Amino acid sequence: MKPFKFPTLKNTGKCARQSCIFLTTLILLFAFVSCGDSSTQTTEEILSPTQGIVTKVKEMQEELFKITDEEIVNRKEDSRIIASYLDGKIDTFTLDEARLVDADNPRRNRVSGVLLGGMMGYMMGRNMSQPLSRSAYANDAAYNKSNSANSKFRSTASRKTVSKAKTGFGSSKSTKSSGG
Amino acid sequence: MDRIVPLPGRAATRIRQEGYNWFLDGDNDEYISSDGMLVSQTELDAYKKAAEDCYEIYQAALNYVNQNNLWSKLDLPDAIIPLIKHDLARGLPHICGRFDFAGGIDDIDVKLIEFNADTCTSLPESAYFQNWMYEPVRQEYKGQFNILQLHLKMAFQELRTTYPDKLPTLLLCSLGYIEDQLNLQVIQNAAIEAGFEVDYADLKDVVFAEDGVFLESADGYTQYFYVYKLVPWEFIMFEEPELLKIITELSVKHDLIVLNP
Repeated sequence: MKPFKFPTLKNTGKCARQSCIFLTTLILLFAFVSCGDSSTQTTEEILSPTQGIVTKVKEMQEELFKITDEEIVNRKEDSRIIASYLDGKIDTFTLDEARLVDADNPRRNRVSGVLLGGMMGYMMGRNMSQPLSRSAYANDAAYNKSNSANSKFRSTASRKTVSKAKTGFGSSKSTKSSGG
Repeated sequence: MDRIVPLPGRAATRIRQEGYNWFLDGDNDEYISSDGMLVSQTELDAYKKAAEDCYEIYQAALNYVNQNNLWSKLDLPDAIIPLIKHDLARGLPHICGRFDFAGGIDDIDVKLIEFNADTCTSLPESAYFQNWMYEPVRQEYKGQFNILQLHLKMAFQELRTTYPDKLPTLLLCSLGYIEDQLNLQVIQNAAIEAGFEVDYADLKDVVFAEDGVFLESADGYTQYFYVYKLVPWEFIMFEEPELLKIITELSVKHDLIVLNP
């Protein structure tokens, strides 16, 4: 069965107004035709690390952690985080342990934030096309060292081309009803 | 006969209660009439017949074009033809359209003005408001005859029967105009009654990936296997040709269902 329906009770004034809106919309549509972005890329290259990272993190002030050193290691599973705390304790843990929200180990959770800004961030899923974050490092020396290591790290990354998910169609095209 | 029947209150309270005050406020303050118009059973039958006859003629014309491959005569962009053919071949149902007729009373023939087959509005008015407006005169007159709400629900139920293996997740989208969103609420209610999980998004927020249509939320991505759009095909064809390409690919390769077809 094909549902059908009939016009509702409406004043003729509204009908005329709807026609005007429809015409305006049409004119707008044609005005926009030449504004399309024809250079939009439809694919992107995704890089994934094939090596691992050992990151040293230091608690500079209470609960403020900075990266003091990062080193590339051959195997991803050899990745480690070595955290030195203000009270002099040192904790070494793995990437998997860093990802865990471990209620018994709240200190580790506080370290994770700063890791994302460094090369370890790429191991944790951050897009490798994004640069390292200077503010994650304790000083220029540590930042510069990681930056040059990062070019090597990227050169060994695996690459695949995937179709980019598209979004944003029809944005800011019309503020009037497009129904009829 | 005296055709004009006063409809006290024009259901304004109920309309507001149900969240449709846009139809009463601002520029629309005179939109909902406080009168109804009587039509006789014979006149009503003539309107119904006109709608059914016109629909059949449109369908016959469509089939004729399809069978004789006359697509080039329709002056449509080439890019949409494969999608039309695909949707015809898989028999996607037309969910909802609106015929605008003139005449039909005082012995004037019913005359077709236009058929809004793609993105028809006036859904809250037809499905809800007219019934609410009829309440005060229920004792004296027979009600309006459309049962749009029920028909919509049945159309969505039929979809579930036709595609038993497809998860009934429906995404409603528009370009964001409030009238369009309010119209989609009627579709949403009908689809929910038919057992669909339904969400709404502005078209600009819909994610078209290689394997389907998604919405992004804090919990990740949700995939939708059905889309009902209050965005005209005309807009998609001329304004967003890349979107047309993506919808065609998703329909052909991943059996995405975009309504109205």
